[in-house]
Amino acid sequence: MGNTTSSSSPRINSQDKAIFQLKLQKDKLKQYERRTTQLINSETLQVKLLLREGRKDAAKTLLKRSKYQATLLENVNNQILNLDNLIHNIEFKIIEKEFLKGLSQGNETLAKLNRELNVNDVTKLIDEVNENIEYQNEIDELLSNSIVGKDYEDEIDEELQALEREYQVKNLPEAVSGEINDSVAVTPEKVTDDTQNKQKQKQENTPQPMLA
Amino acid sequence: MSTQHQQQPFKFPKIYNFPPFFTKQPHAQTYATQLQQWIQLILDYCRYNRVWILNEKGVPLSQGNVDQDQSELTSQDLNSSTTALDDEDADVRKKGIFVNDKISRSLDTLMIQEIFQELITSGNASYVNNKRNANAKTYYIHWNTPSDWSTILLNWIESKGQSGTVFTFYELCFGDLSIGQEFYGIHPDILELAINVLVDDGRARLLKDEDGKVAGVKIQ
Repeated sequence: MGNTTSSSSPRINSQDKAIFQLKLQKDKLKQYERRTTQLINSETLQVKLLLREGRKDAAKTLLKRSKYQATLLENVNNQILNLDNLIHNIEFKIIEKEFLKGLSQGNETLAKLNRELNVNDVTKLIDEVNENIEYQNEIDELLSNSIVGKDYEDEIDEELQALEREYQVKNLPEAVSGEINDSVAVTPEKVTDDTQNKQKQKQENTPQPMLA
Repeated sequence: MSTQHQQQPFKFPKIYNFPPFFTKQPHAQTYATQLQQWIQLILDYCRYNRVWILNEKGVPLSQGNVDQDQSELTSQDLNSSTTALDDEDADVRKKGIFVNDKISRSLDTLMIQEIFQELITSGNASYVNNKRNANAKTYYIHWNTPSDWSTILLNWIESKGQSGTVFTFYELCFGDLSIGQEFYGIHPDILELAINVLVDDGRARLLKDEDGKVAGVKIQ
């Protein structure tokens, strides 16, 4: 942040200089405006003084001068406005120029990227990819069909049925052993329950002496 | 504008009417405190009245909003208001901050020099390069140091979205955008000191007018 070197300090280009010149002119006009306003104020004060003294002619000439100053002041104000508008226009044009520059740069990169992407190449590539996919599908089909022929299918069905039957028969004794296992499994739980109860009793017992 | 405080002049601290305040205290520690109190008083007074330059007697030479164009007019304003205000504030304008007629006390010149020296070492004052009158010693009083001012300017420019814009010094001092800012009407020399801080930081570059005088700056 604070370590910026002098090389990164803002550069001044011709537009900056032009705006600077305009602003200097504007400053001068503003100073003139201030001066004239002061002058008019003091002159009106003098007019009042002259009138009080009864010097009507002198007051009139002074008033004339003051009026003339007032018209000048209006001109100055208009000029300040014009300069202001000019400055704003220049500033806005600079922004527009930057915008165009950005736009053209973006366009250039886009065109460059498009050039790299030839339409013919892309269609060719996509065709090739599609061909390859079809070829792959063909291979897949061939591979899944060729080895397992129709002769085996009946044998497989028979074997499957035989296995199913066997499984149903085996299922019955398993159900009985399952019940036994359940009853066996209950006893250890009860034992653990008992120990837990004992532990609970112990826990309940310990606070009692403290309460007493 | 500078007239905003004129109904209520600067309220001097009670110690300003305490006679020993105007005598150099022999005890080193007491003296250090006294020196600090004087410095605080000067800075407070100058900030309140927007005094930019004090001479060696502590008389404000440049005060309020400085317009190169109307320097004579503003000084006239000062004279007219001194007759209206019959108080310490008016005395300061005539005789300097180091004289208090109310208790008939004034500060020794040697101590005044020490005060200015202390202000300079703390960065709250600097010599005015006076080519016309080299003998007269005058001091810029930095109630905001140039570095403080530069930060204020930078924050203002960023908050107004004016980063990278070219400004003339006059525009910074009196531009419509600057109205209501603390630096509105800043002394041009002090503005230049602040902008030099920005230039050294690489945040600004100066622009010269046709006469080769530095009159503008681009701040980024």
